[in-house]
Amino acid sequence: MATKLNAASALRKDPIESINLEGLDPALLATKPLHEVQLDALVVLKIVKHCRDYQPTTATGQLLGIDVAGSLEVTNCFPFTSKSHDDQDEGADEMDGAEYQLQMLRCLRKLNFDANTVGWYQSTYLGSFWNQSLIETQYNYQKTFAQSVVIVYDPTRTTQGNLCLRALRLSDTFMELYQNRKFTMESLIQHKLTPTSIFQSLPVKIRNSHLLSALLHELDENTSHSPSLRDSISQPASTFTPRIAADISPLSTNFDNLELGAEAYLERHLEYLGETVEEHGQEQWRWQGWQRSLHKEQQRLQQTVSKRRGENATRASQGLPPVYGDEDLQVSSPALTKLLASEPSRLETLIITNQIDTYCKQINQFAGPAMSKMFVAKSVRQDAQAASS
Amino acid sequence: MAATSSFLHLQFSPNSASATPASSSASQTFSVAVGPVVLFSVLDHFLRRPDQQTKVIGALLGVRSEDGSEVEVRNCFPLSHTETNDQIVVDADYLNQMYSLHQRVNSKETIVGWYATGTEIQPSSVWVHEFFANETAPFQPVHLLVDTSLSNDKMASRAFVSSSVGVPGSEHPGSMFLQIPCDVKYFDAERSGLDVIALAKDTPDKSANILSDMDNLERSIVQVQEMLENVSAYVDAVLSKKEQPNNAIGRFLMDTVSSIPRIDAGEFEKMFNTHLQDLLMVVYLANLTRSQLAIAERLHKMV
Repeated sequence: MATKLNAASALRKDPIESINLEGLDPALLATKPLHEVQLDALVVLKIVKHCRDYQPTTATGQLLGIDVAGSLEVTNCFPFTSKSHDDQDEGADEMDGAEYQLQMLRCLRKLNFDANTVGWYQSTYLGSFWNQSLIETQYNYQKTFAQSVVIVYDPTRTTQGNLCLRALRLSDTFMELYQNRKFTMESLIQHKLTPTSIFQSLPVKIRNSHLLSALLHELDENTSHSPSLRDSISQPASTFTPRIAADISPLSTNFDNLELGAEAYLERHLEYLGETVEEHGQEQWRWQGWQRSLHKEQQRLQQTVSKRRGENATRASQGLPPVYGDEDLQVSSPALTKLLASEPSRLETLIITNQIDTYCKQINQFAGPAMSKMFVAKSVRQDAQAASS
Repeated sequence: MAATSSFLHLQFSPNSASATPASSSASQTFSVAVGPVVLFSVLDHFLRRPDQQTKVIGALLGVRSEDGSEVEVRNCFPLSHTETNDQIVVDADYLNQMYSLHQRVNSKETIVGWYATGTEIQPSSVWVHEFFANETAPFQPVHLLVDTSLSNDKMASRAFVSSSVGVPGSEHPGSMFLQIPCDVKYFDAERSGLDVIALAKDTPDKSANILSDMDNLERSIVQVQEMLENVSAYVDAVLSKKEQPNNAIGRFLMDTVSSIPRIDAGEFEKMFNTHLQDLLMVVYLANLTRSQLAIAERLHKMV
């Protein structure tokens, strides 16, 4: 991934035709902290298509666009080449990946498309996207292009009837910490970093061009006056088939989200949640083990030092010079410093905590509507019974 | 050149095309399904065209069925071209480069044709079509024409194939563009995306936020209610003899009503309660996990 980024930044240094910026509101050019991400409808569909083509493996790609006064406008995107095809020559593939990106950006720029990298996107399965590589990649992106985001798209949740897109950014404090790769308890407390403050979640907005709105209205019209529907109604009842062609139009109402049974979804969630909690426990156990040994070492040192102090005191009372100098009375030893330095990184715990949090939130988000759906079904039934009796 | 005069564009309205037996052979043997992403890309490309240019062209990528009669257009990429009078120059290098780039991501999608914007097929289209025929050989290329000028207040997207006409053995056979059926095809996941995109079409600033699951559910339920009201209004109208009864609609309604499974009331109650218990249990567990985590985090700070 690093080479890919280099390629992108190299392209940026290419001589860009001087753009006339006069007459533009300077407020639009100022760099402000991002507060929302605005996706073009085209980008949404491209991401959806790419991720669907690659299911069940994760798909990644680059986002192109520009940030205007705190709102990141993503106007185009293109998929990255998948690595799974030729694993044997990983090195060569990496090179080609960079070359591919460069060429793609050049091609797009030639035809007036935005060729300004603003981040990347990734597909995920049930929100299990928290891992080191995501953070590493996003760190590199934000290092190179300060205003970049990662869009996480969940195809499994989307098939349940609601588009699931999240825009994330690493917080500034985390960027600072990650630069030093120092994730000890002390530094976390010092920077007031909690698992929830690693990432900053931005609201996602979808925007259509006027021309596109026209197309959508047209498609909508086709739905309500579809020829296949008219045909099946106007035919005599003897030729009746209890099916209306399902492919009426892409904009016919989508009732996937009224589906009642979704145990499989919950089951898988619980399964994943269980696994992650176990990982979290292991991580915790490792850290506690480290702390115990640290404690032991400290105690041992304390004991020796107090013993030496005692000896010094007895010698002083006898009027003799002390055996141990000040150096020997310090509570430190090479073993202790080594142990202190080898504190297990808390990064993994932070990530796992976030992952668990995501799972739990998703379960909650799912359970709310599921319960309402059940009560809707129940009341519909009661009404029906009351009507029939 | 004589070729410009030997160009013929036959146009049938989609309904008559399927009704007249003469043309049905052509329309039945060949059909095109276009993914929404293609139409979106074409419009985006059109918006980004250079100042003086009035139309844009590009290549269509997709898959063909084994016998080549069904084409599914899944993707596309833009091309640059220059047009002077009747001459049209397509950047072939650009095409090859872009095509190889797309091949690397998805090797299944091959060039199946080309798109252009405009109201009518133009004489220069013949040349571009021939150019693409080389790319798609041995199959014939598909031409997708999107009317971005919204003539007749419609953004019609039409698909064509060409076949040669003229005296056999003559040096410049003419081309005839035949309109073929073209539907918009989409997948489940795309549909949810389109739903949100479609939401944005009615707002004044053409933008929409992503809905939460709950809001989305509410929207669906409101829609169902509207539909039910519609239907009951119609049924009432028929019953009070205000409206002509339509037997087919009646059959559909009856079918729908009878598709509701009959469940015993006690059984239903039992199912409902166990389900509810499961859900509440899971939610409780999830919340418990979260609070445990929060406590662990705080305790760690104190150590």
